[in-house]
Amino acid sequence: MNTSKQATSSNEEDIELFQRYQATKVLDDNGKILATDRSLRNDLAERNARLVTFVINKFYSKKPRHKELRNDLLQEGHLGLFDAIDGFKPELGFKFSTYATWWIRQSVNSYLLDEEPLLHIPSHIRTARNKLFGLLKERSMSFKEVSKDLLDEIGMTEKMFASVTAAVKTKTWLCQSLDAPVSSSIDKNLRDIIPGDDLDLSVIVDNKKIAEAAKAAFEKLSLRERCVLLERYGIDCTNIVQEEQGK
Amino acid sequence: MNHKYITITEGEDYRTIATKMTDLGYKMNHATARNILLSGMRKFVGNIASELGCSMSESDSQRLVMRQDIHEVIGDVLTLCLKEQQEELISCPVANQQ
Repeated sequence: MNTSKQATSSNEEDIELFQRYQATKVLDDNGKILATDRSLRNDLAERNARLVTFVINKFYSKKPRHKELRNDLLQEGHLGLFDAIDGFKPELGFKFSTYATWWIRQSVNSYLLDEEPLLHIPSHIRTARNKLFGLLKERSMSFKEVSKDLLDEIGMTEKMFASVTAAVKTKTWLCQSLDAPVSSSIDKNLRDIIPGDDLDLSVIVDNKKIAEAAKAAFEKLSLRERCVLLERYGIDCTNIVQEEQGK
Repeated sequence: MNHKYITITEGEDYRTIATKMTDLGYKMNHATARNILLSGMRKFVGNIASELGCSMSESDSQRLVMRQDIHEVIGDVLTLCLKEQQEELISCPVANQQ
């Protein structure tokens, strides 16, 4: 989306548009939006699209990973902007940009947290963990010093605390995918070199013995026989012929 | 019953093998390819047995190579054998430097 050429929003026009947009909302008993004027919402989103770029540039432009994901972050930011448009109440007297910035940041942060670790920690556990750590930092306490009174104070159950403890102990940055290559020079995955439980040592030794015997037996065959045998099993023997001819 | 042709689940048929071998400079037709394959397999099975310290008569090896399951197993053994060779190349520092 090219944001540079879009019209900047003036405050009065925005308020009027938001008031019109609010009038089109159809809500259910729980306050959930059932239907709205989509074109008006799109109009509001286009008018405030530069805010997303501004937020991304301000908060998510330093880290290389954020630079890599810039387009994704912009898209997530726009989703946050739509949420902000749905929830904004102009009658409270606050500026839309103040309200929308938080929604955009929330949407982008949520995307980044879901995207980054290999082991997913649910968002409600993450929120509880951040709340607890915020309080511990405020009181200069360590995680080991958490008591039942402190948990009661922030309204955290013991079950939730157990989940938070598990999340803290999960060192997601140490995790590696089994499909990750061992190194750039070796074309093998971690899955290929990690020993499995299903194959015992005697089978490995037997396989090695058979492979050695087969290798020796194979080398005793003539080149023509070796080639026909390999071709029968779909293994290309051009290299073998070329090597032999080279000798 | 004496089978001359055995079908395997993966791999090339005799006509394709004959064409490829002809391209490589070994002129042959499909029947020759089959005969070379069967004699090669007989020798291969016999050689493996002797390498493992067993004795196998000519008729035993002849009987073995006429079985489809043995053909499938030889495919696995050949793959294992080539895999071992490749692993040796990977673990060999001189080969890696080259």
